[in-house]
Amino acid sequence: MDIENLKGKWKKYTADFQDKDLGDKDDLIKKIRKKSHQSLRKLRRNFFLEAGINILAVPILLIFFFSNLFQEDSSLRMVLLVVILVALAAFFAYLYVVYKRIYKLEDTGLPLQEKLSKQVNYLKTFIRYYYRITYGIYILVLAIAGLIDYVDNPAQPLIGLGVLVIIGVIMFFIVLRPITRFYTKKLYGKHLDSLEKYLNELK
Amino acid sequence: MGSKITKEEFIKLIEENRDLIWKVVAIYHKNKADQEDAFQEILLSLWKAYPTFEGKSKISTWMYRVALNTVIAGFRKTSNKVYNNRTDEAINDDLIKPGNKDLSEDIECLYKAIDYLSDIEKALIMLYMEEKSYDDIAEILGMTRTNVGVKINRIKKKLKKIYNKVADGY
Repeated sequence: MDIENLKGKWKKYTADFQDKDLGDKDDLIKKIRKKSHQSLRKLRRNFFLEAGINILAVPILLIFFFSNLFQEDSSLRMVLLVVILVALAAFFAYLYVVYKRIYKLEDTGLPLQEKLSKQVNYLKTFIRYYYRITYGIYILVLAIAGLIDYVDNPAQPLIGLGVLVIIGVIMFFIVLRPITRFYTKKLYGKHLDSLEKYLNELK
Repeated sequence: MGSKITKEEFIKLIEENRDLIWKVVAIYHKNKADQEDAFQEILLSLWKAYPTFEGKSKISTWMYRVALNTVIAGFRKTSNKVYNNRTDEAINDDLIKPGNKDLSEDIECLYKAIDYLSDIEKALIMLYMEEKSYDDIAEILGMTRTNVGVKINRIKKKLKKIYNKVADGY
């Protein structure tokens, strides 16, 4: 059978789809009001989850901030807390940019190849920055902890710092790195792989 | 265009072009529940994307683009493996229902054969069967016209082989 010869039958057959019942007007209106199951929704959900965790961290930091405000020798702690707050603000700014981009990616009016290409590039950049920011924050927290330890125990700064660095490195390779990789792979890995496969096929 | 559309106008547009959406749905989904979900997702995408429709292309070309974008690049069901090529399931009862016996056998074989193709190949062959021009297909998928031609020829050969094997099984 030649595929060409099936065209007529195909057209005749699929023309019947026009008779398929769509339900009444109210049903259709309900359908366009329902939540989407697009994969980008996962990205958005993840965004809100992480933004929420960060928002929860703000009052804790503020309590810490004010409890240290009236202590003696608090100048260094104050500087460190300001650094944390600035880092947090920067992270919020980053999340805002992510939020805007996710909505832009939902545009389904683009040609498929262009849409796939945009999604792949965006997800790759997002994952890359996700690693950088996570690792950066971890190093920043370690550095702050080291400095606080120095302020608390000025007599033995090197021992304390050495222990902190060793623990920090071990925790990085045993906990932080694998968890971050697992998390990003679980969230976007399969989706990214399939998008790349489609994109290669189109090229 | 590119302007706001009322719900009533949108529903009219969907009613007039419902076959187009079901064609896309039937190519990618067999399970009735998945078909309903995919239909709704496409509906949502069309509703959201309509303000960006500038009227430069035909409405059907634009609708195919949105529908294929939705099922290929966006919609994922986690509860089942919709995106794996299916080989052993029965063709869905509802969309691919036998009316004329000879017709349904051919069509059933064709749908089964298409099932062995990749998602992109499915899109290409569906648009080809719909007698869309290479220019339209290129516009929908964002490929070059030449690439469309080359790929469709390859897919036709591949599909013919699969079709014959599937038909032998009858």
